Amino acid sequence: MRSLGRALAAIAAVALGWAANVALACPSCASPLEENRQAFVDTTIFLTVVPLTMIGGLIWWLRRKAREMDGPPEIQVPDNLLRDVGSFTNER
Amino acid sequence: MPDDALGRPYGVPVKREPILPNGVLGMLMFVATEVMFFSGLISAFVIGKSNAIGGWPPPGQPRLPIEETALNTAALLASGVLLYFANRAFLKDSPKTKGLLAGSIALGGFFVLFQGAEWVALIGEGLTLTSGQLGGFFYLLVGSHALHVVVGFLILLYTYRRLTAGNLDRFTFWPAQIFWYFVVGVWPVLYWQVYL
Repeated sequence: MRSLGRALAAIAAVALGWAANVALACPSCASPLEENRQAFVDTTIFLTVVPLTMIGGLIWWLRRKAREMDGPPEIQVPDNLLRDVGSFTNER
Repeated sequence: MPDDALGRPYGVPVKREPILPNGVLGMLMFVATEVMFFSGLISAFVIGKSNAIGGWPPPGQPRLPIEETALNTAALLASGVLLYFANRAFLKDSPKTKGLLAGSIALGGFFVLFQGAEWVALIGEGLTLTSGQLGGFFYLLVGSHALHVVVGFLILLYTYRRLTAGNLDRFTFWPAQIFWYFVVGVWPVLYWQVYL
């Protein structure tokens, strides 16, 4: 019974979304010029993608640099010195 | 107190080098806001252009000098390339650094002067900030960029002065380069959108 209620709520949400195609929230969406409507869509995509790309690119680059800096230790300790120390891990 | 394997006394925290110097991170954040500023202007221009009745450029308005500006674009791009090689020479402590940086600054100065001459000619032909949509957008977009070029030019002059004085470090040179690469990189987009 509970799952039926959830399914009905989901169907209602989808139906509402489907019916929302008449909601025009921008002046350019109602423009009679096809080129103008397309320009609005293009610039919306552009202005959405640019900040996400910049922030994502910086995070990706910083992560890569951080991993490089956490690389192998500067001094390689010979194995015979580590024999009695037990298992060695670089994790903190 | 005994020392560790690297000769450091025990108990002294190891100072880690930051991934990015503060100056570079600050400049990257500033350039990111500038990218959004120009993205907003370009988007407004694209929508305004697509909404123009009677086509674009609007009839009765002066034509923008496409070929001459292509030459100017090449000069600005060459300036960016020279700055890249100046940085490589700087990192190798090469004596070529000064010449390459001077070349980059000279080409940046050429770009500003050439654009100034272009503006004088266009104003003479009647294209002003208030003459219509073309003039308004042209001076807003290209003028904003020109302002950035002038600031970048002054920053490069400052780095050149530090270089000749022998006290230029990479933490000063690096942010200056980032700003100039931004100025150089945004121009072809403006040229493509506004002139072509």
